[in-house]
Amino acid sequence: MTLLDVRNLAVAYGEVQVVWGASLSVEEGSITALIGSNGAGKTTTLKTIVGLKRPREGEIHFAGERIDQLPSHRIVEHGISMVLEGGRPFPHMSVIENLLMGAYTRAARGRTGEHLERVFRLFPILQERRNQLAGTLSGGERQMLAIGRALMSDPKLLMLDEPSLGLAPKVVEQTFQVILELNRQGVTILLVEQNIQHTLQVAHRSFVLETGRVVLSGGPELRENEHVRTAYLGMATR
Amino acid sequence: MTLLALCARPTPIALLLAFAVMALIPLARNPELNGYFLTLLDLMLLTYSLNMVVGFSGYLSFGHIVFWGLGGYTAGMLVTTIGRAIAGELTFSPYLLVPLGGLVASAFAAVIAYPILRIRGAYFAIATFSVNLAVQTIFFNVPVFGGAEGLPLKRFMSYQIVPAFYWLLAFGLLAFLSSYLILRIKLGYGLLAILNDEDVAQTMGVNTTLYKILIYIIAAFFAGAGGAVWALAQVFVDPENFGITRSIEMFVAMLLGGVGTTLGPFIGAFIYFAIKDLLIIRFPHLHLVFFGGIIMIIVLFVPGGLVGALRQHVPGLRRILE
Amino acid sequence: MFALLLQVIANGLLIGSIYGLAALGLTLVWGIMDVVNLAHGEFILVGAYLCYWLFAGWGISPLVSFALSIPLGVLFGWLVHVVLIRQVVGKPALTTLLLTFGLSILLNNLMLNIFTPDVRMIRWSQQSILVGPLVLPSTRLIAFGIVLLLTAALYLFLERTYPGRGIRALMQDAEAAAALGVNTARILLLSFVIGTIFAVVAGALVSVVLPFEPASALPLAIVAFVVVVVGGLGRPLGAMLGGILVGTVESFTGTFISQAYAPATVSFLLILFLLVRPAGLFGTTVR
Repeated sequence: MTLLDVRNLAVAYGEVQVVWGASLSVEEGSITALIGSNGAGKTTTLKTIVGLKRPREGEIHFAGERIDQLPSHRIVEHGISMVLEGGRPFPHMSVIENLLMGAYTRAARGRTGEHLERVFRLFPILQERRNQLAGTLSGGERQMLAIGRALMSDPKLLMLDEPSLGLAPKVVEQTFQVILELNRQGVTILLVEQNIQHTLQVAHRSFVLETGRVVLSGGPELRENEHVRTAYLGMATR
Repeated sequence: MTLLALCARPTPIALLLAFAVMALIPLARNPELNGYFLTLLDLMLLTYSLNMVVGFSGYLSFGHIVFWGLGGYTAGMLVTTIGRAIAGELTFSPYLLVPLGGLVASAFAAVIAYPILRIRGAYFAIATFSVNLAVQTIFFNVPVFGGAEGLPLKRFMSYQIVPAFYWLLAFGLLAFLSSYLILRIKLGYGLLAILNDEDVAQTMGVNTTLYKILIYIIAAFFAGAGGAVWALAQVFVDPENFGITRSIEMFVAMLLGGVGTTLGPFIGAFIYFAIKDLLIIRFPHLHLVFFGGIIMIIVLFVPGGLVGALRQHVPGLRRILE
Repeated sequence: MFALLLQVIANGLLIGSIYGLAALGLTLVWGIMDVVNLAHGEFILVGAYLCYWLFAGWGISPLVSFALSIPLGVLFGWLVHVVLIRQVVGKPALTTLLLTFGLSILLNNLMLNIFTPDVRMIRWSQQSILVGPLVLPSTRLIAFGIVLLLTAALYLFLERTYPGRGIRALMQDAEAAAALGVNTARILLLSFVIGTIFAVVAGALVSVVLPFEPASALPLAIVAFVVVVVGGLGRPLGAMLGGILVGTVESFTGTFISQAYAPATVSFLLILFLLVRPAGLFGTTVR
């Protein structure tokens, strides 16, 4: 079943159009990846899905409902959660306060205990640091906190924007393990990554975005695709 | 580009004509009319000064009235000091002291410019507010400046409104021509860059500090000169010369005319007085309430003022109005 | 001498805490929506005149007015936010400052018309409590108690409730907060309403401890601005400590130099802080 369906999405920042009629879909229970180079419109697409940006054209449907005109707080209530690039935890709040911010929606507030337990099982380090200010955490811990925070609303769809950016190789590996684990628990994942080699390995389906348009999509076989090999994998194997 | 060539454009021609027509006003020998236009021209001059800082650089000079007050006190102090020294009325026209009022205001601006113009946005606005309050407090309390009573100048000069009128007319014209010229030289382009985005301007190599300080000093001169003429025309100066009412008036006039335009302060001063006359007849005590509302309406719905709105909605006027 | 010094500090503390309360409202609105409310002084006077009008006209105890100033603040803040402030959130400083400047002129002259330019003061309780050499007027002590109560309430609200954390989150990273389902528009309204409540209540307290008139709006607003700058923008605790500092400085100036110079000293303090320590005494970041 299709959980998220994005049709002919067009998004602009003022006069500058960034996304030009992009279409993609995310199957329930899948890990779907959105790949492409810098400035291809990946982040903008995710932000538009969660309502931080308004589309100029196109439609977004989630679990059968049209959501592209809803404010972001309503979209989050529908079950979409986004981890922004860099995680962006609130630096002057403690770990536990950051996690509670993730349970801001009315439905999530009643079940914080249960969700906290799940996050702490996934990231025991967060439990150790629960009273520490988020601004004092390491890069990897900050990313874990951001993912944990996004899970606090118990989302059906978790969108991650460049979760491995700037992290040490070992931490990158851990992050991908977490993504796989979450997916096994039934969370649908939409992943934006520049670590394309790694991403194609874990994603069930990938969409290649170039200058705001989806130019290619497919399963793990994309790794063998000539265009992907020359344009992305050559660059991706650093 | 010579100044002459610039003056061949519609806006300067129209304004030169308007100033020429206004020069005829005292010929009517109507003291009431003279007084009316004296007030109007003084506000116009002050608005030109305010517009140079707020409209050209985007720095919200909320305490701008401080320069007007300093100009007034400069003239007042000079008249009383000289008058006391010669023990009688000044033997020359006291209005010759007007440029000194402007210069003292400029000097004060030069002293505070560097530190205060490093502060941006709301902080700058509030800092200038406080500068005015602090200066006002000093004039209010230091006996040399006459304290709360102010400085009566009657003993040293006589009440002469016509020269005051012509001095203001001359400075008004000068303020307009300066505004017009500034926007067409390097200083104007630098200020425009600051107005749009100061950080970008800096990275592009614009000497933002220099330009900000320059316009601040130039603007202060006109406000100071206006304050000096006002003090002499009233034959009196007191701490109210730093007061809030005149402050409000210049902001309303600037907004009505069109922030950042060279025509705006001229038109704005006229509209301000037209509205004020209308309001005062009907609501003698409530006119400032309405002006508060007018400011909000302009900010929300007509941010370009009259000139801006005309330029936007009447394409034919876009090239003519500046 | 020592007793005098102590008395000056006590006066500064008691009055300064009210400044802190007034500044709490300003710092919240300023920090979260980057809107500097130049009408904050008039907002404070709304509370002062409510208290005065009820006391002088109807003999109603200021204690009742203190309580009434809360619903009045809610109503007034809601109205101003919906009609005006909402339209300019995110606009350049020039726009927001000029808009609130217009509002301040409108409100101030309305007050001049309704309440006349006369200086008012509520002569409510003349009793004082003597603690050793210190004379502490009971009105100031009551006001101080209310300040402590409200500050504690705000602190708990910001730390322990979802909307309170939402306010802090929005101050730190508005986009991240929105991505977590924070209703940004509602939080902005809430912040403005809380800011207004604090201003109005502070005004009600001012009315029992200080003389006031419509022209007091400007010096009161400046004091609140100074306190925000001294305490660091968007820092409620900083605002309270900053208020006490400013109150003490004012008290010292008034006692040892001249009451006439108190406003000027506060202005100097503001400019000094803007130049030397723009992030405030307790701040680390410049915004």
